[in-house]
Amino acid sequence: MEIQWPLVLFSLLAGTGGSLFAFVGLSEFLGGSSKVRDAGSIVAIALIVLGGCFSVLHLASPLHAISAVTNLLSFSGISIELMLLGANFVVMLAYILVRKRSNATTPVKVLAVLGIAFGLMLGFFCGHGYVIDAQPTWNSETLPLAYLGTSLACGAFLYGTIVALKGDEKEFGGKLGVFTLGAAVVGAIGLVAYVAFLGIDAASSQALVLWGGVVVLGIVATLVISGLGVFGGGKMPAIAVDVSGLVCAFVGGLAVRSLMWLCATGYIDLFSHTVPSVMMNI
Amino acid sequence: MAYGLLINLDRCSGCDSCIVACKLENDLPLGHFYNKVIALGPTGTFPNVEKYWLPSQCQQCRNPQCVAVCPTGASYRDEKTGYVLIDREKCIGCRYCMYACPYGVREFNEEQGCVQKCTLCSQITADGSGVPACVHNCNCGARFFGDFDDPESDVCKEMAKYPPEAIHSLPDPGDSQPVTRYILSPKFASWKELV
Amino acid sequence: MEKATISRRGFVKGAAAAAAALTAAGSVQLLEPAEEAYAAGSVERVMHKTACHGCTNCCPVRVYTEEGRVVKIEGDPDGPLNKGGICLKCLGQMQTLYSPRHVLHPMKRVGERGENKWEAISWDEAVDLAGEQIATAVEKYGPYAYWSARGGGGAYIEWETWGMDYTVGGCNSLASGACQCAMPRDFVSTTSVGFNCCVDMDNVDRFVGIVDNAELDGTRRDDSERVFVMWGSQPSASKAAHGGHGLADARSNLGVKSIVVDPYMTADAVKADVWLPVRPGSDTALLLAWIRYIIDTKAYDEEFVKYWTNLPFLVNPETKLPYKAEEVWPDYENPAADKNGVYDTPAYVCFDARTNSVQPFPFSAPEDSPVDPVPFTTAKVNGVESKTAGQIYWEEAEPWTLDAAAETCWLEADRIKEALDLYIGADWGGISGGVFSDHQECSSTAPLGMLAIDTLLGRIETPLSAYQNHGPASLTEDRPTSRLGAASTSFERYGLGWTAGLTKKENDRLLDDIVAGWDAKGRDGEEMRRYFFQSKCDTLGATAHKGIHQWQTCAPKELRLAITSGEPYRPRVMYEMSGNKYAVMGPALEWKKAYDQQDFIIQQYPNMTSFTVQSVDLFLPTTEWLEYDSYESPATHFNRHYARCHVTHLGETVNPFVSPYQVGKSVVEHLGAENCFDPDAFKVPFFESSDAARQAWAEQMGHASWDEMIADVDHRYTETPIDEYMVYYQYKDKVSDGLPRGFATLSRKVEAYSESMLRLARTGFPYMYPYEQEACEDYTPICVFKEPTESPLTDTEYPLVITTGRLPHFHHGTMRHAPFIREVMPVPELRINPQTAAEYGIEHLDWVKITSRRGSSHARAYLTQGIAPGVLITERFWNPECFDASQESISPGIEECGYNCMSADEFQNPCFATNSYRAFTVKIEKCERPARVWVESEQFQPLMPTLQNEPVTEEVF
Repeated sequence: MEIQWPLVLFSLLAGTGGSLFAFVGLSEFLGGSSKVRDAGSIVAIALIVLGGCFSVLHLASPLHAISAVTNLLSFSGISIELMLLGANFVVMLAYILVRKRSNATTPVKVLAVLGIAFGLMLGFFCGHGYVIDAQPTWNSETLPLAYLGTSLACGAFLYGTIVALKGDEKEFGGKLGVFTLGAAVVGAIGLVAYVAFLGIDAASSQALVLWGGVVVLGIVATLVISGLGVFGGGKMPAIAVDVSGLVCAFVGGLAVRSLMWLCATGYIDLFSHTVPSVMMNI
Repeated sequence: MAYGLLINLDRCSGCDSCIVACKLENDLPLGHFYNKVIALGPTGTFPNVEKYWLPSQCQQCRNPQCVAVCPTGASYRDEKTGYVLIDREKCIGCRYCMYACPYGVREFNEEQGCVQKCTLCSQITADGSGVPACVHNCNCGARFFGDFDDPESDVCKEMAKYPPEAIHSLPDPGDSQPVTRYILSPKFASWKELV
Repeated sequence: MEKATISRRGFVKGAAAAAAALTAAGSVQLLEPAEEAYAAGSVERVMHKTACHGCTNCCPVRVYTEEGRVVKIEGDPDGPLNKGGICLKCLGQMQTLYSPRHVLHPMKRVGERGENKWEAISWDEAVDLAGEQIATAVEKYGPYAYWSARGGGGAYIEWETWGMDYTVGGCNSLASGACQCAMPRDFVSTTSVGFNCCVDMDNVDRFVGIVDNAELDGTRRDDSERVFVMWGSQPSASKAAHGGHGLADARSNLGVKSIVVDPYMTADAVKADVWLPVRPGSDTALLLAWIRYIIDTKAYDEEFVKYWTNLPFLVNPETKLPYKAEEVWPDYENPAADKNGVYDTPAYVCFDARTNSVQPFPFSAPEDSPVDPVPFTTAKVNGVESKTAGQIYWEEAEPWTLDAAAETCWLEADRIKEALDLYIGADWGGISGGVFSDHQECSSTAPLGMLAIDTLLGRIETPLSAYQNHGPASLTEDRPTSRLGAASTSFERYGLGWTAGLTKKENDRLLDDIVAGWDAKGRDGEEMRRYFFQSKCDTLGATAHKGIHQWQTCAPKELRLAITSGEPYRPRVMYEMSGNKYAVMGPALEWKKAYDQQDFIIQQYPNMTSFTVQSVDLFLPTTEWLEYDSYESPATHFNRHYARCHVTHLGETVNPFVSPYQVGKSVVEHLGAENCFDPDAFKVPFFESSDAARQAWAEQMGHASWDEMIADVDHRYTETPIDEYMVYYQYKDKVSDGLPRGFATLSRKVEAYSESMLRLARTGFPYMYPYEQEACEDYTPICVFKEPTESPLTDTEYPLVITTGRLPHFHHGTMRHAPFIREVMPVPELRINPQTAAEYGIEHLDWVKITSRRGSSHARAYLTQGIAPGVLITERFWNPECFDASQESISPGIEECGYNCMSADEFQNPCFATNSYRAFTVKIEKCERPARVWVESEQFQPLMPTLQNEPVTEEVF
């Protein structure tokens, strides 16, 4: 199937926004600077709005999005994505507003917990809608895992980038690198799992996407860079680590989503022949 | 009720008439189809080969996956008749139904921004006055239309002429329960599962 | 009159919310809101009944109009054979009727030939120009300067061209069919069994065996085993809704089994019980193997062979003709002789088993026969060692064991035996011989072979037999007679030709009456007859290929060479009454040289073709079939013969039977009646106006007027009572002379050994009687095998053998401009075995350049196990997109996918001048898509209908 770029960008941007906000939420518990939280939550909300805009581009007409919203209770894959997008938006907005207007910690912590949960769910469920019987190359929970993992890695590096720009070394009690590495590992696991599910034969039919995008950048480079952040002894500037990590993880995220579309076969794709009467060489 | 098509592949000669009859009746532009005819085979090695044609269109599932994934209710199955249809007014063109259809028999109409597919020629058949154009015009009398829940319907009467081993449906990966049936007697060719 | 209903479609298509109307209410059951809406804006929808003209088969259809515009075509469910089915050629008329290529006004070429530049002119001017050009050429160069051309089966105009030819005294009419379609089979059946069954023309009747086995309800009446053989015929492709439907019914409802002999796994081969993928060109070897097996295993019907065929006749080795009893016993008195001297029932000579001697063999019922003839033997007649016709056949077939045939035909001996045992063992059977042989050197021998098989098995006038006479007229009171081919009307008009079954005296009387009739009209009848005879001798190719008289055509190759060489004379002005000769006649590029040398070319046709663009000077637009009234089709649906009744009429299109009349009239005006050979000839097959045509056809249908006929929309056909439609074993019925009816042949028996073939070669008998045409080498009276001149067995330069066949999508050169058909079959497919494809590095859907000794063509590879390695099959094609205005530069669309650029006329069938359009050799290579050729659906947009809003107009004439 053709790569549906609006959907690819939507899921990765929104997922990254959700993951970024999950890190903002975590920092409420593990410690971090307010500036980073402020900046992170604003970037997160911007990302899910941007992602949402991309998703609308997939529709025949942007106005059609309203129909999807008015039929939210269909509990189709799209309506769950929409619900999560809305929930994230509301929680992020509330978090920003509450922090601006009050010093009460409990509502912030509650919103932080909700933000972590919704943020991660957004990453996951943006992929989960594709787990359908009719698409055997999508029909595995490894696919949403890869969606979540790549979103998480992007979110982690993005959070690190904001920290490098706005924060101090005490973020997450100095353990941010470990969490970033953890996110990169989840991302790598998701990628490996989905590629394994696809099978190396099918996946390598898209050699550049698989070997260049998913393996070299999405897995190896992302892991190495996040590893440098933890074990590199600070030889590499944090901004360099996080920005390069973000680029690699993002490309990895794009690559696995593209792979999903390119490897889609359909269960029995009866109309796939351009000339109707061309035989199937079975 | 479960209206749908029965296609007797013992009779089908792969003439493509149903494709053009459908396009003319439903005013489909070039490049758009509600049905296609796929030649399966010849399988085997010359001269020991066999072949049949598989006319393909919406399988009119009882539990359609296209309906399950539709975010707006545009894809729906009419409770009373069993027709699986698309309400173009409600369709937002997200194409999830196309991904979710196990048989790949829906297509996207760029111009109208919505997904379309076989309607069983509801403009002819809804009031019970006729049969779909592909059935009416089938050169070899291979296509039948009717209610699979009614033993007196054309489809059930034709099926009753054949033993169970000659009656097939497309494989069903997710309990879609396609209504469409194909008759293919082993003496002509063995049924290919396609998956 | 027509039936009117309120149109839902009119609403649906008109309303912007088209689909919503059906679905907005959320249920198909809830159409009421929509009904209200459309009641307000409804358009009256009128239902018409007519019959398709997309091919030969004349399927009944229902056509719907709204405000005069055709909005829908569907099969007529009352059609006894198609039962509502209709193929995409018929459906395609929705698009071709309103196609931008459907020409609505006469056009005169203004640019160079090939430039596709035209000027619209009036009919008056067009008819005048045509008449002037023909008259000028005739005045300057003589009558043979004019020649006509026509289509094959399914064309509007076929043998009727003679009417124009003999108005001026011309004698050459080029048919894309005839030599290449059905004429050889017509000759064989007419001279051998006494009627034209064209072997497969109407075979669906026999598939279903309606009379004793199943009525039209398709219920099986008995448990007899019925096996049908399709030998190079493809009913499911060439007559999908007609024969295809009949076959599907026969197989599914009646359990009829089938054997298919075809190099390609056709749709019918797919369903066959046995498929014999014979090597193209080797069929007669297989036929001889069947004949040998039947004789060798004594599987033949002994009584039928002895008493109803000429196989037991002893044959004079010198003349190769069967001895007549009087030749041996001059005083012999033939007990079957007609005392009145009208009917001729000769007595022959056989070897009698009862007396162990040579005896006279008069015609009688078997039980009354004085002899017990031995069909396969040799005996001394007048001291000369003579073989029976059966013996001659046996000796020809004897080398063709199953193994020998398997080797030559690239088959498995066991598979041949399986087919033979199935066919021989059946209670009833028949062979449908397709058009394949009419495209090869074996066009006379293959039908003879098929005839021999069913003659041996007694499958003549039996259920499923292709040799079945039809209708009440076949149930004659007297000894049946047969006058030439049904399409040789000019011979009859001018007093030539022998009627089989009549005595010489009676034949002479009939012909003299015709001559006297001309005398009575103030003409010299004998001079006219002489002129006609001489013109038929002068017809190009007529000396060597006398079989062409059967459909009053000329030999294509000899015509082509005469034009290009000027020898013996050069035809100069052509009136083409069909579509695209470049697509359907080969070698197309050689033909182009001939057309280029024409002074003036007139074409009448509904739409523009390659031929129009490349060669035509004056184009006369004729009707599409939805604008057309007629009752001319030879094809029936069981016992029904449908009329075509116009549904609309656009621009200035003219019924194709009317325009030649108008041109003929103009020719006579320009030339002066006194300078015409027969200034009324054009009035015989053609009509002055549509009204005149309708009146004539109405009368043929037994109605006082056309309006009376069409008044009842449900009965626009004639119907033969079912009990008179197809009577089996009619040859056994006693007739007026007290003898069984027998057959309308010279011997009154089935002439499996074709005496007519021999007499044709020697004197032009029966056509030229009472004159004798110059002799040529004898034509073989039986099936023989000849390896095609170009053979893959010996050709190292062109190692592959190619053949062609039919698709359901097109009939001959038609419908290439129908966009919905083209999108499902955009270009020709070269069916090729994967093993062969691999040898040439060709993959599925690669473009392939195919080259023969004559030229090249292109097709897309279609890899399939349904064809033998080394064998190729593809379709004839032409590409109207090549001269579309949207192209950067145009071509006439001949060479891009022109199969017939490759086919050959240098090797022909001797009797029928049949060209080799199949079974010649080629080489192949991978190539790029030819320029200008469209493949993708959207590319065909410029061919989509544009004339829907044209007003409905009155007839011009």
